[in-house]
Amino acid sequence: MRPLCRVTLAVLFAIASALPVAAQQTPPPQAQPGAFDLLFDQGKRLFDAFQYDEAVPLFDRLISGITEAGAGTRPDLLVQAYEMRARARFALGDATGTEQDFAALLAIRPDFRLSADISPRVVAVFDGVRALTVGTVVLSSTPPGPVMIDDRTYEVLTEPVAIDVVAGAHVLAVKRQGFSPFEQSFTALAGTRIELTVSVERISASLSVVTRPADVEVVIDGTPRGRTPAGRTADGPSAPLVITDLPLGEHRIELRRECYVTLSLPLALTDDVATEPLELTRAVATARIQTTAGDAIVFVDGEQRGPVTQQSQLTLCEGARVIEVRGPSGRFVDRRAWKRGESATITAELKSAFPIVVTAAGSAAVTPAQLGQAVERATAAVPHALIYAPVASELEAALAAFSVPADWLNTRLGVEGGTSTPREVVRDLVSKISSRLGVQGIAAVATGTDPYEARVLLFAAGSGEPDSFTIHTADTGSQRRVAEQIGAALPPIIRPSLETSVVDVAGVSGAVVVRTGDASAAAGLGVGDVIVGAQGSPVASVADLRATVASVGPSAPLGLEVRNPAGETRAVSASIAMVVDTMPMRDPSTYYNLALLDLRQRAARAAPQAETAAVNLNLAVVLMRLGNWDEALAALGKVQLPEGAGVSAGTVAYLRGLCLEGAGRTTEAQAAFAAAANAGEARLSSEGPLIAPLARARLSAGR
Amino acid sequence: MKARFRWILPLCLASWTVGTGVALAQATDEQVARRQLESGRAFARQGNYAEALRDFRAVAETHAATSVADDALLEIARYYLDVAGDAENAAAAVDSILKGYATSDSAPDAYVMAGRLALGRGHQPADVEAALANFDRVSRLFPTSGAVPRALQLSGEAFWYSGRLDDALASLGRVTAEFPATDAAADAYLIAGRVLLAMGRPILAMEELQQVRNRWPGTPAAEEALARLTLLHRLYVRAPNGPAYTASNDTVGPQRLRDVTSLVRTADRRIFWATNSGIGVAGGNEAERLPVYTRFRGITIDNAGRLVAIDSASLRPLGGDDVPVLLPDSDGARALDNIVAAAQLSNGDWLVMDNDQRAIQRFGPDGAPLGAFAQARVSRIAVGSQDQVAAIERDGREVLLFNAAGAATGRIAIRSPNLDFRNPVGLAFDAFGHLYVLDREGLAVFSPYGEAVQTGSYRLLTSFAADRREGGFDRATAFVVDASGTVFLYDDRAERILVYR
Repeated sequence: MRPLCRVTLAVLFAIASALPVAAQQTPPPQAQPGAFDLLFDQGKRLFDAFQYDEAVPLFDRLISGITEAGAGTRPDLLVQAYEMRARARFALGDATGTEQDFAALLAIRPDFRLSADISPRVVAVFDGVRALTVGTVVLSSTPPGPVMIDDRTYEVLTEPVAIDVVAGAHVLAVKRQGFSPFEQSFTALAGTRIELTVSVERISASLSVVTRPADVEVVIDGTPRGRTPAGRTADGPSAPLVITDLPLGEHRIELRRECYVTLSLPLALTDDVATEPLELTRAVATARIQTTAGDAIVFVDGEQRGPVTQQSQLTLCEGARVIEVRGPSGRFVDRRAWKRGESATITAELKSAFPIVVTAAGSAAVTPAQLGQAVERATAAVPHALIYAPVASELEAALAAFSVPADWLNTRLGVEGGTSTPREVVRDLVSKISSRLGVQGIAAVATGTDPYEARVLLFAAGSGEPDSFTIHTADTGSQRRVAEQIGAALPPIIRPSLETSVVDVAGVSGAVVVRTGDASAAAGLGVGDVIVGAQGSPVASVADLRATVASVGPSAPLGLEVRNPAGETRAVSASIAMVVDTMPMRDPSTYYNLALLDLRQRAARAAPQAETAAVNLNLAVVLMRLGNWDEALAALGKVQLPEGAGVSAGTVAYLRGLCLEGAGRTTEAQAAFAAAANAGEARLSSEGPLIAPLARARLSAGR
Repeated sequence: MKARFRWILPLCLASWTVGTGVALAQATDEQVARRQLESGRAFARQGNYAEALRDFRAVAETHAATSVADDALLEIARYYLDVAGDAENAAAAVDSILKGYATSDSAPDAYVMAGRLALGRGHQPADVEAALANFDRVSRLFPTSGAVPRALQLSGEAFWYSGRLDDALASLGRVTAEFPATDAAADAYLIAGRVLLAMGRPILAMEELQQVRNRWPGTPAAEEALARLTLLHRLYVRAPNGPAYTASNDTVGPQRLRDVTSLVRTADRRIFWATNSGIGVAGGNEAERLPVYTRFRGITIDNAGRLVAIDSASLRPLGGDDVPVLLPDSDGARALDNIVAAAQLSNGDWLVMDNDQRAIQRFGPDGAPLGAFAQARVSRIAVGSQDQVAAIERDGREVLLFNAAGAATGRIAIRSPNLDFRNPVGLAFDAFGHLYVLDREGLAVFSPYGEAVQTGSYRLLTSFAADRREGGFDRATAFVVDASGTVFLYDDRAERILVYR
């Protein structure tokens, strides 16, 4: 056989039959890390020691092992193994084997060249094999860039590039970002050069945006495309945000970040673009907070900003903001849209806070969130109470913490669905939610078919019974009426008194004395006397005298002009005492939950003894009205009143009996009623019913 | 479609049509009923009760299935009870509500009316118990109803009628404590004043009454309270230290008036007198024509405060139907020809004394003879608001006391070391149950004690027998006491009606 034919056959054999012929005779190496390199080193050492016959089996095993390990395994080592085995075979006179190995090597690496220090004889064999197996492609690209031949990528610059390829069919392809795709098949002939030109068109571009500061939202043509990542320093430029596949042409790029002025730029895109750092300008307003409340903390959008001091100044981002001032006695909420550069002073008057925790909109015309804010606006003028839509996340966390069912107040709101929650459970949940939110109570709101007419329930912490009112969120008249009703002063719980009973009598001008107290008797007033003047003004009736007493107060003695039954007139100087009175237990015009908060605050303040007794007594009355018997009993325990007429020890005993009865402590209740039944002239309030018959009726009912 | 199912479609269509028609008809019926109810109410506000009643009846009878039928019945009951004074028709309407609409929002008001009707029948134990049961149902079955304060207040009043004073105060106390802003609270204070007085606590009673003055100034209740305060002040504050009464220069009626046999003060506050020949009225319009009776015996008032003329054989309410007073005998019936006194119990029964009889006779509201009320010969009869009955024995030695059933509960000697009345000529109760006894020469007031209605235990509170030169009188023949305790007294020597305040 002629040498050329022999080489050709060897090449064809090598290409067609996956090379590892020798491997069939020797077992492949264990596929363990470093095994191939060790095998190669051993083979090379033997080769270098001219022990070619011992080196070849080692290279056989190596080639076999790499080949069996799968395509792509250690291609460089495989190439070196083929080279070394070819040269070993050459030394052993195995010309066919040498050619086969070179052919296999070039199939893997068509552009392989032997180093210059290798024997020219070997190089001649290699070149011969190469001439039979490798062709050359001269490739140029417009524009320059990466080009793929089969699965290998070549960087083609402005000048044409010569690339060796194995003779045979190939695919030339270009897949570049932003360019039209390109693909072409060609056949390379061994030992020949062909010239190929690639030409692709740009169809899109990429944009790399850098901003200062980072975390800026990039919006292109109205579509958000991401936020610029943080850069190396906090106040330096951001890392680039790369946006690919932008169509060529005109675009509008907007850079948005809260508290910054939005930057809007035109962008004419013809190629990939990387911006310089784009600077955004801050957009803030300034609010100064003033409050007389102690220990108040300011929050913006639910985020704590620190305690309120005399110089409290807030920097606010432009836009709608909720400023809250939270204190132990209540809250203040300011909800408005701030403009850049705006400056305002906010006087925060803290009111008892009632976050709206249940919103039941009975009409699709309004969402629960809208209803909550509408009620907040409509009740803004209500004194003493802040009914507001709380920060949603805080509310959700609070309700989730106690597993509060959504319909727990439906029955109270008159909304269909939901079961009636027992008063004790409501009281417990109200207290827990209030405590968790750090507020004085909670509110619940519902509308019927009229989306503007809202029914509002207010529960103070510790209360199981609500105050309720209806307000029209679109009617200022309704809002004013509600504000007036809720703002009405509580009935007096301590009042100036002459401690003397006076009555009107037809035909008698003046107030006729029918009972005197110790002080008024000592001052010289007697039964049958007629008070005809007070503080220099005529007294024609009891109403006149009451008005004068109420206006004078306890500080000074009251100068009276008194006519006795004989018709003689004299001056009497009477002292005015401050006496305890009780609020009515079921007055529909009284907001007992608000009264509870008011009285709690007053109870916490130091006050004269009479006022302290009045506060605790009325606190008990209010707590009883709200079904909180235990706390009512505790409040009554702090009240010491003397025996006698009017609101006195008998009153306390009776109220205590009612509390004990409510708490199910029947025997103790009966004992308290028994004590009250003996209080002959004690009254439930200064103008209320006598205690004794009420107590006797309770005793009788309890038997 | 298979033949056997072909009937289903028309049936469904028919059902839908009928169902829709029924629903529409119901909606229309409801709307018509509501409009007619409002029309009736508008007529009632204008005082056109005939038209109002027509509308209400139409709703109740033609639209009985609507949601306002009970409201119409309630309006009917209100009309009959409060306007027409027709207890029978009122009771029928109330009964219809309680039987047909027992759980409606009209039911509590209907129970209140049922209780009022029971009290209207009389203040005797059965009536009071029936009333209390109805009032109790209101607060027990409808605790959140707006009728509760009125029911409690009326319970207090009913307890007072029956002498259960503690229970009365407890009920009234609930009204003033739990419903202090209601109209019922003002009435509760007024009744509590009566109850406390009955308990012997006049000062506490005055304090209760003053509450009405303080809290409802300018109202009719405040006026009533003032009158009662004035009365109590006179008897319990003024009297211990001086005379309860002083003569005023005022007079009522003509400056000269002769032979007056009786005086009455009617509910409209007018004072009528009777002489042997006829009736006169103080401040009367010249054009006012008073009836003339051929066999006139005198005048009295019924339990509604209307003037009643006593003819030889009948009682003739002014503007009302005559009540014949005939006693059965062997010939059928015999007229009482010599009536000297008549008074009406709360249940409408008349107590009549005829000089020819040995007993006080009792007649039904329509004059039906009910037999002897009490075996006694008396010259004057007075009935208090708790149906306590007082009568002056014909010989003038004692005042006899009876309960509404005619049982003697006590007697008051008026010839005693403290009081020497030899010619008693008049008797009267005031709103608190004080008993006033008029002698030709003096006036005595007796105070009820605690359960006086049951026990008749009265004590002399004050007496007045001033010298004629000091404004006294010595030939009194008749008197009347108004709500404030002012005494209007006819003295035969003065020949005019004297006023003592």
